[in-house]
Amino acid sequence: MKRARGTNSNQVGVGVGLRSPHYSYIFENKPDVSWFEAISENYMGLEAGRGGRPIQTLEKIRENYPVVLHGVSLSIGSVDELNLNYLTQLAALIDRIEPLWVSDHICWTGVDGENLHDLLPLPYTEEVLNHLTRKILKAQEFLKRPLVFENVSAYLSYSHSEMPEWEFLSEIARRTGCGLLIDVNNIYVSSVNQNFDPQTYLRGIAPETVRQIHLAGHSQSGACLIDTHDGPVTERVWELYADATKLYGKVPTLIEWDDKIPEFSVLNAEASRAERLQNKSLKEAHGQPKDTAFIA
Amino acid sequence: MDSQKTPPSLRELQLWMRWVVTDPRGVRDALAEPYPADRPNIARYTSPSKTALPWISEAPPIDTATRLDIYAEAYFSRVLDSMQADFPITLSVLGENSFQKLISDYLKQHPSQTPNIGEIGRSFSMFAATYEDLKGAEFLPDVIDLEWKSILSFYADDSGVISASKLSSLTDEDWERAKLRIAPSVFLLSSTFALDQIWHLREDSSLVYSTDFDASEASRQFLIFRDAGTVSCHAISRAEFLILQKLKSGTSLISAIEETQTEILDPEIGELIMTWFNGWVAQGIIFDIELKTETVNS
Repeated sequence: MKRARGTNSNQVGVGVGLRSPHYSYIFENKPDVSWFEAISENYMGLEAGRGGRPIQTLEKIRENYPVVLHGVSLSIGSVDELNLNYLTQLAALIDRIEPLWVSDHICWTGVDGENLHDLLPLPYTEEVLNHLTRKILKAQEFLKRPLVFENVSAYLSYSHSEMPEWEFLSEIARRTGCGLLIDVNNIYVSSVNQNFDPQTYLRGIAPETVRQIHLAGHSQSGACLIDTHDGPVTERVWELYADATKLYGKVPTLIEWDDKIPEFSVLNAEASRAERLQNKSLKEAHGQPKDTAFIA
Repeated sequence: MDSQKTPPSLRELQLWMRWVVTDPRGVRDALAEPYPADRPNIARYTSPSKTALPWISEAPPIDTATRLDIYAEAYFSRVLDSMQADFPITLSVLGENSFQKLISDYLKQHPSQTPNIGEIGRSFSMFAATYEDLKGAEFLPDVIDLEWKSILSFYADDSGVISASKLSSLTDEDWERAKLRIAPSVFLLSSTFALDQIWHLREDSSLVYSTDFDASEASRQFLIFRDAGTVSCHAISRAEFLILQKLKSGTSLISAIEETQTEILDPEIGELIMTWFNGWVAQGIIFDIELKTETVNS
């Protein structure tokens, strides 16, 4: 199969989340986008299938663009064992798409075989660290690659946590060799909902573990911020992104937009803004763009 | 008292969170009455013995119930959004409120057990067939089955088109032992309702008022398949249905023809099958031909 240019993951810049309303625009216009992030489960097929029409579409996009696979259902934090059917389907998708890297979330999505289809927060304890380490190592062995894990937006935390989230994530990366996908919007949303300083969070992450950054919009519901991905990135999140860039260097960044999806040009404008901001921040911090130090 | 002193294990925490987020009464009612009196699906309404509530951090001004409620609402709305997208005809027939109630009741009996949210509708038709509130809309279980099959068709593995040269190279002897391979996107349905007409509600839900939802006395047969990315539903004759059903189950072409002739008793069935065959090839319904030596039991 023909493959796109730039399959070296260090060469990609700011990408855009791939969503079905934009397929025809992408095929007709071949927009200048550094890379796309595809939701793995949308292309893994139903029942025993291998993806049907959706995977054909993704393969066609892959001919022209680098692609990253981003999952929402690995449920790495669940006390259930890894779902081998799911992992087998994911491995088949990886073989077909040859993504730059594969990511999911530090969370749990179900228990006792029941799935809640949400990214639920974990307590940050030594017990959970050990549990996650074992499961991540097993998943990485099965998929034959280091994985990348994202911090989730959280609307609650647990009083028996023994360390802050940033320390927990850094430790997971240290123990398993996985990379981190730092979602700057999620940090901001959680910081407001849980009363912590987002700058402390950013500084608490080991820069060499950061593989990717997510940017997205959120909304307000009462005193809570909700990670809705239904609007542009807010100014406060852009500011945090500038800080993250100064701390982590030139990290592949992605614009997510999942609800009330606008025309593709709107997403591309957000991507352009991220690129400009990234270059400006790097110049301010280092005098010139500094490549990410992630070692996979 | 024990819950106040010892934090829950990860398993206990996850079981408790699952209960409080999915209790059909909502978070506040669930927290107010964690061990309700007997009722159908009582397990869905009953807290696990170890509660994690004291171990959720308090961080004013947002109270704990509000925080949990965000997850509860997200759970239901995510499932509802997915089902609305996958079952648009059922939604247009029922309207939003009745559809929402149907999904809410469906989830009580069939919570998602799959990582892929697109598979939640797997038991939806079976559930609807016994759902009391659908009396007067007896066609809906068949419509739901139609919509589910169309999803499976859309996601079915791709298959190519059989080449003209392969077809023309087959000898009479080859045809005698040929098994036709039916595309994975092909599904067959039988119903007393005009599913092909109802299918058009996908494109235009305003047709709901002019659609024939009355049952016929005899069952009708339908073919669902994907062509160039688009899933369609067509009415077919009982004979075509029977022969496709046999071919799909792996029966050889000759046996399928013979068995269908026995069941249909139409002297022109041979000619009809030739006509259908050409259509199946052109539409990609047949995508390959296997030539296997049949084992004859002595």
